[in-house]
Amino acid sequence: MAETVIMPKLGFNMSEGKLVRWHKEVGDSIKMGEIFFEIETDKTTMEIESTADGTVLKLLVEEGDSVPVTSPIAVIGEKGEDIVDLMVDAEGKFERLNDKDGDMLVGVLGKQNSSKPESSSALNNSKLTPRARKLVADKKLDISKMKVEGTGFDGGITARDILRYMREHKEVKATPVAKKLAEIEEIDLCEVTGSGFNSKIMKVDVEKKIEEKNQIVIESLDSKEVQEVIPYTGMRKIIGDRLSRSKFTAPHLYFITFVDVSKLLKLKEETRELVSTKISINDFIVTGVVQALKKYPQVNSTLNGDQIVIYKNINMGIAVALENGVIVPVVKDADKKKLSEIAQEMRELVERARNNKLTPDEYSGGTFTVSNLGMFGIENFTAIINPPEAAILAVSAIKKTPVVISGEEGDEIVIRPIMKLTLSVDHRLIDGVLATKFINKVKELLENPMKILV
Amino acid sequence: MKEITYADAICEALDEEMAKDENVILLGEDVGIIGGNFKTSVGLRDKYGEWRVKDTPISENSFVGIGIGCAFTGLRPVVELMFADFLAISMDQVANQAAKLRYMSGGQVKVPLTIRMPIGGGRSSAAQHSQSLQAWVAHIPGLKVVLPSTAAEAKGLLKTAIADDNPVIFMEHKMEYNKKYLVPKEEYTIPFGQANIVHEGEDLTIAATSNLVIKSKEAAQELDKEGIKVEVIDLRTLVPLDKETIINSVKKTGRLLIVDEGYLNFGISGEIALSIMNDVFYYLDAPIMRLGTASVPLPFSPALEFSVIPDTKKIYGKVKEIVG
Repeated sequence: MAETVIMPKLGFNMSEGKLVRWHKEVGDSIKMGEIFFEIETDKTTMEIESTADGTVLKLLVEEGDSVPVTSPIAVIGEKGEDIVDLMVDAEGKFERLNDKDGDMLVGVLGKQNSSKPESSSALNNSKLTPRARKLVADKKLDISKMKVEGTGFDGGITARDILRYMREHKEVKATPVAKKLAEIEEIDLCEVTGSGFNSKIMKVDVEKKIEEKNQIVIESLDSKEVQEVIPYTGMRKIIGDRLSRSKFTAPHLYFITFVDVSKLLKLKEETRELVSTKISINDFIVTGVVQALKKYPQVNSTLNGDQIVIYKNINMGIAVALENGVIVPVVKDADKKKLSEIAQEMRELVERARNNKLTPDEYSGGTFTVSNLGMFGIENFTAIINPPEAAILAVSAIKKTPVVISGEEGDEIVIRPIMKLTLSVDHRLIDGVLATKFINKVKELLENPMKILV
Repeated sequence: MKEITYADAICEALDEEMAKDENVILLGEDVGIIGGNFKTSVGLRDKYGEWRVKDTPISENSFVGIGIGCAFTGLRPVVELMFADFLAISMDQVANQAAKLRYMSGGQVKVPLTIRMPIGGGRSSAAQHSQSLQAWVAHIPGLKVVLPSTAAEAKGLLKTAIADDNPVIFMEHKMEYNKKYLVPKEEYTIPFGQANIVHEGEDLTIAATSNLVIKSKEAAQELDKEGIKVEVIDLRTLVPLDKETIINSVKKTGRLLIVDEGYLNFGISGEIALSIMNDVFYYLDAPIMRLGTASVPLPFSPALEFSVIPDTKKIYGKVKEIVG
């Protein structure tokens, strides 16, 4: 019995996937568990294994196509098996999921396209203005199938009537990625000319339109010479939208403290011989923060409408710098994990993040975030809370600093490795005293790191 | 900005050009002692003397001819016809002499002549004193044709007309003379052949002349309230005609209404529509429509007169008819 393979849903927020590569061709045999294809979501690329044994009978999408999740993308069965019924089902489902826009599949299925677009008799029988005719030709519309009401001169159909119809009936032929991009960028797809098969609007067409739009704005800035225009889209825009929402809705309050990390540095050296996993200063910091959060669970919270939700488990996010953005992989249930376990897991997550291999589950669900820029030598910085969390800890570089301590013969100045921590909290949820207690707890743990181990 | 009447604005333009260049002279019926039938040259005879501001007999063919002769000698005459309807009497001078002599003399003579005249209905001046005859002159090669809308437009365009080395027919709307408008205080001119978008919109373009620009703008403001965005273009000069501005606007809106007070039959609106057709054909979302004066002698009775000439309400109605 043949089986339809669908575009998998890899995370709660995933609505569509792009097929990057087929590992098998039609006619190849395949075993359950073998890598069948690779897909790309908005943040990551994944290899997907086959869920069935048999022969690849059909591939319904081409490499580079994006389709909504659960769309049929391939058929696996026995060689020579009759799959007509299955294909009819698949086609129906595909069309439903792709806004009735099944022409991509029609081509693949080799079915006769029953309605030739723009049959000349249909064009001649209806009253179309010159502009409407041009629109029909440019967009290769099948006007005979569209029940457009003419409001123009002598009851004729105007270009506006067609555009209105297309808007109302979502009749624009566009790839799902193009549609999504257009929605985010507030581009009217009716104004975009498609360069794809059958004048279908592709992602690049929308990007071109966005560029045109930006161009207009940029031209008006006189006396400034433009070197490069980069579309504010994708990850850049997601980061921008999320953080501006955070900064503009959550009143941020900042607390800075100095941590003497002499003991911590020493302990780190000692653990190097004890544990097989390399444990970094950041691993200690994260584990210390987890313990402080256990003591002050109100910091491990979120504002959900008119409720303050305090979480039981601690999902620790770690900000990771990418070439052109930031991503925050999450160590789940960090409160139940030992230092070495957290260290091991974090190493793997960071590695996967840098290679764009994170699955959506691995970068969502955090309850607190640590952002460490210490390795870049910054002395102090503040971080914007990663919504919907309630606080974020910014960790700066360790720097040898003269400090005053109370010695046996009164105050004396000594040189100590000092690290600055800046805690940003959402004042709607966390007041100054709690924040102070929390950051002091982190400081205490890091200055006496044996407590973290115990 | 200052607030002055349309007649004052004409007067200022004449005054400024006469002060600047002693070759600028005025000729016409009652332009001197009376200061113009519509008070457009008040005080200029006193200021510049009777040699430069000359009252003429009722003899349009003769004094337009005098103007052409003066222009040959290097003067820049501004000749006033009391009504555009009197173009008929002077038409041989205008169409066969002024328009052609620079060409026929192989460029040996220039005709830097401006002929001013009031056009338009609305004053119960009846059939022989109310016509808008821009089509007559726009038809003749060699004449520039200017139809200013507001006082500010009239002043800036008249100064350009006087400075032009070719004969310019300058048509003022007689219903505007007593209306007050804001006019820049400092000196300025408005070039020929550059239409002016006075109201922006995406749904329909109105190309209008003379004071119908103002009425089209009023209609556009009314239509704004209903969500119909009309772009109103003040054509300013029929010759030269700024087709580019009309074409670009129609490419955007897909609909064009041409509004001009001349008779519709064989008039300028038909000519404008066809002259841009090749450029806009595939952009049209409706037939090009026009609004003008019905093909009848203009009646004396106000009730009848107003029914045959375009106004704000008719423009509004026509736009609604096209937009649907």
